[in-house]
Amino acid sequence: MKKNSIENKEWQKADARVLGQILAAQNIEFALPDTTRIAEFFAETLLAIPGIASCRVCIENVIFQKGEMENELCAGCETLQEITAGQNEIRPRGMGIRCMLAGQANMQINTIDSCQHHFGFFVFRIDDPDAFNVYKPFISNLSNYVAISLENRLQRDLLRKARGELELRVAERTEELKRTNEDLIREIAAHQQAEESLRKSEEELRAFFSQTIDGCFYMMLDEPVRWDETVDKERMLDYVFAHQHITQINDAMLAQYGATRGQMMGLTPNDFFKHNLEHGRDLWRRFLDAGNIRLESDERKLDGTSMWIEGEYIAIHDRQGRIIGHFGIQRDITKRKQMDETRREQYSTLHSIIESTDALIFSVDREYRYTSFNSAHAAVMRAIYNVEIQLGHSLWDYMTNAEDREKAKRNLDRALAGEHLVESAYSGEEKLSRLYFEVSHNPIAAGDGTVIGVAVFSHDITERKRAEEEIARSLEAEKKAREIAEILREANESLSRTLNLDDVLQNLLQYLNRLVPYDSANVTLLEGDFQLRVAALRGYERWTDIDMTRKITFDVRTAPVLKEVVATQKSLIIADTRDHPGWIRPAGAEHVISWLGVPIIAGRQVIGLYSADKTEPGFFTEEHRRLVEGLAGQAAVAIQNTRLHDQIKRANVELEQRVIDRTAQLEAANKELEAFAYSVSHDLRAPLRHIDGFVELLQKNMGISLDEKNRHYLDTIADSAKKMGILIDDLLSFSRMSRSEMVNTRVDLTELANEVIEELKPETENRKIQWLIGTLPQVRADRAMLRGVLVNLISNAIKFTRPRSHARIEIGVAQESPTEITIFIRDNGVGFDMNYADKLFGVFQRLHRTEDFEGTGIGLANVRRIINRHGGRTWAEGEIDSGATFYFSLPQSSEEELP
Amino acid sequence: MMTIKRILLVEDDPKDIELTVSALSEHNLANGILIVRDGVEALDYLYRRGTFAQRSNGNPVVILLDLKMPKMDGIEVLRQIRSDEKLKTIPVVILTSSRESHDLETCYKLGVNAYVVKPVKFTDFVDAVKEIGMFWALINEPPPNNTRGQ
Repeated sequence: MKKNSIENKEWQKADARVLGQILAAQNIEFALPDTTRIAEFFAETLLAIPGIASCRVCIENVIFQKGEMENELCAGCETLQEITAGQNEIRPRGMGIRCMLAGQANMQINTIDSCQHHFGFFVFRIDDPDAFNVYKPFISNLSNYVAISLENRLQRDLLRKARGELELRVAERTEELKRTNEDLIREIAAHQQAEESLRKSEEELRAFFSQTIDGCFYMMLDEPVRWDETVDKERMLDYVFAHQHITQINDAMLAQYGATRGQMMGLTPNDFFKHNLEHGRDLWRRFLDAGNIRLESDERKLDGTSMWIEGEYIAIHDRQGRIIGHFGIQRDITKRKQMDETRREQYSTLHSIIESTDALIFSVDREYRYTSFNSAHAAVMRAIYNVEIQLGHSLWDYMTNAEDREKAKRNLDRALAGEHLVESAYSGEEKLSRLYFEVSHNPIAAGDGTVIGVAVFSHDITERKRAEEEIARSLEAEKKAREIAEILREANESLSRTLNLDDVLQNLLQYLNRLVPYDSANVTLLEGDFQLRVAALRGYERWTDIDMTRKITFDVRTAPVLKEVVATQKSLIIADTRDHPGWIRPAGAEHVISWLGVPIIAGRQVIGLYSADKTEPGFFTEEHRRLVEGLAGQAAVAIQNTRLHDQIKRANVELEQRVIDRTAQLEAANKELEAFAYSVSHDLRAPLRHIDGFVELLQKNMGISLDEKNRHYLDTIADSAKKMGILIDDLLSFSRMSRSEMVNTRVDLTELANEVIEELKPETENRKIQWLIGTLPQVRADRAMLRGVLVNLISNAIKFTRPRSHARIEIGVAQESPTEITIFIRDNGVGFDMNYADKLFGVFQRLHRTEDFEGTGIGLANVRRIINRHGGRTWAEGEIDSGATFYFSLPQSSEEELP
Repeated sequence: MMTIKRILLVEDDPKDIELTVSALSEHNLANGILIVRDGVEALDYLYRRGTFAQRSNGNPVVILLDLKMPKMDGIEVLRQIRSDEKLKTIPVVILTSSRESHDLETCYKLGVNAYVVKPVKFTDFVDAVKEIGMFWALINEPPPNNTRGQ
């Protein structure tokens, strides 16, 4: 065998098979019971040889053909077989046979001859001469082995026959025995020759054994075993496992097991499978049942390390069909296995990643058939289409929605054309099972770059989508609400900008149209309890004469629909007035099909009604109703405002008239009062003057003739008149004080006080008075009036301290707050009883006798009147004989007010 | 010898007339007094109308004018006097019981020469009247065209 041929890996397996077959051929005399089986074996072996396409084996009277062969050739073979049949003598090889193949290309014919017999021939066709040439030497081996086996069988048969005859004729045919013995000896010699030939083959086989890189071995039983239904296979296995030994083994196999030949030889299955005996027995069972087995198995090297073996094992039978052992050829595939394992782990990892993701993943080939998918995808397909998807099935088998399918196909086709695309998609019925995805399509390219399929990754973005939609919806709603709010706000602003009822109602109808797109609308206002008068209209021009419509008045009692709205104070939507019981259709409202009536309610009273009309049925919605109700509320306020405004306007006019009337009355009264005061000052004093005048004249005329007593009388009369005159003057000044107009200027109280004290100097002559004048503020007041106050208070202080040898009069600020300033005037005079403090400031109220302290009782009343007119207060504190303090307060004037 | 000049006293109250005359007579001024009892009479006198149609020419040297009178009050009389070219130069002294600032103001605006409030005390009244009489009837020089009547 050429070394280079072995290197060809493709042939290695063929080698093994061919060698196996060839080796098996050595013992076919035991294994195969009849010629037919042998021919069959031969043909199979031939066909196993690379390069041979077909063959025909003709042994004795048996023909076995494998593969195609021309009819002509077959006929030739039959003829040839007839010619050579029964001719057991050795003939020159190929005699008379080759001529048959003349003109047949690639055909070879060989005879099957032992050294003594011609058993037959075989024809075969070579379709690959190169391959065949490698195996050419085996052909003769094979033919030799078969020939030897046939020869052996023939010999054995002959021997058996001879021995039988011998036993029968042992006594009387001694002569014959001798001759037969000679024959026997001859036979044995032939047998020996055959064995020599066999030994040569074995040497060749050994060479193969030592050179092949695959492990080869024979494992033979101590005794042949029968393996069929008649035996207890388990017991048989017990035997086989203990009594089948490695009898031959090559170096490659020793290397596989890391052992020396010494260690390996004689090992039994028990030794090989001691790590897992049951596994071994199971393998053996299958192997023995089938006669051969090809498998991968987990075995142990001698040192116990695990290795994966890929091997083929062929049982060897003896002639009785008993198993005598087997031949095995095997290879260490641990490395490949490990690589497979790694790959499987990687795949498993990848698989678990793909399975654990929420993304939907699948791939299809160019025919849209599933080549992979994950369970998420399967679940979604189940959810949408109610199917269980399977690999190899077309996507279209499941995707029953035409729209989905069309869209999916478009995308897949684009990806199949090499495009990567990412886009949104959805599946299923809207609002029901619709799911949204973000889908990326990725072409799957083969090594040469051609697209062989598409991997599709989809993320279920339904939640996100729903959330987005929800946001969009709420944004939309919010926008709408804002618009409505804006309209309502504008309406409110517009409605509150005017106090004219017509404007209000027109604005109202206009804004309502922005909220509710009616065809026509009107506002009716309730007059009295039952009459709804049309107060404003919009949109009726298209249907009717609006001047007529404007004059319409509804009687609530005769219009059930209006009555209902007014009575319940609730809005009413009529989808179709044509079939609404109680709908009364006034002239000019023939076009009204949908109707929305909203009461305008102010202070829990319906004051009117808003009606919106539409020429199509079922137009108005609950939302319309709410919007109109919202605006109707504003309208009610606006309408009430205009009404209030009218009332106020009327009231104002009335009030103004009343003010004019009242002013006139007051002016008249004032005039009368002035006239009264005038008469008092003029006429009341005249008699007094006369009394005084004539008393004076009388005194002058009587002269000294008037006695003391009468003089006193006259003096008293004159004095009384004078006192009354003073009284009248004080009263007049008090009256004047009330009536005269105040002229407020900045008044320096310190300055004013000093001025008053200066003026009162005459009254303080011959008096010891200590003046304590503090720093007094500037105030805003009527200077003349305030002067009157100080004159009164200071002169009182002077007056009531008259009994004191050392009088002390103090003027100062008692208290100052941001709103008020309080001035006091304190003296150490006779004081007063606090019980009468209230009476001090009353007109004509006096606490002292006139003989003690002169006065009319008007002064303090005047003080109080003046201070009150300035917005201040007056009060006094005192104690009899311990002096008195008079206070007056004035409101603080801000800096700006001081001129 | 000092010529007695005529004084026109316009006064409705007889008691006041008596007292005034009494006061003036103390100073020998009473002879020149001509008394009228109301505003209408005063103007009749000045314009020589009615009962005074026959009176001699010439304006009084001074008019003592009460304010509160029947028919026409003193302010109206004063207004007439001051608005008449022939009469407006006649000195007018208001002699009244009224202390009303309103009256005072009106009178001064109309061009009164003096405003005297009748004191309740008679002696004061006498002093006041005497001074008025003395001043206007004796000391003051009347305007040149003021021809003296009989």
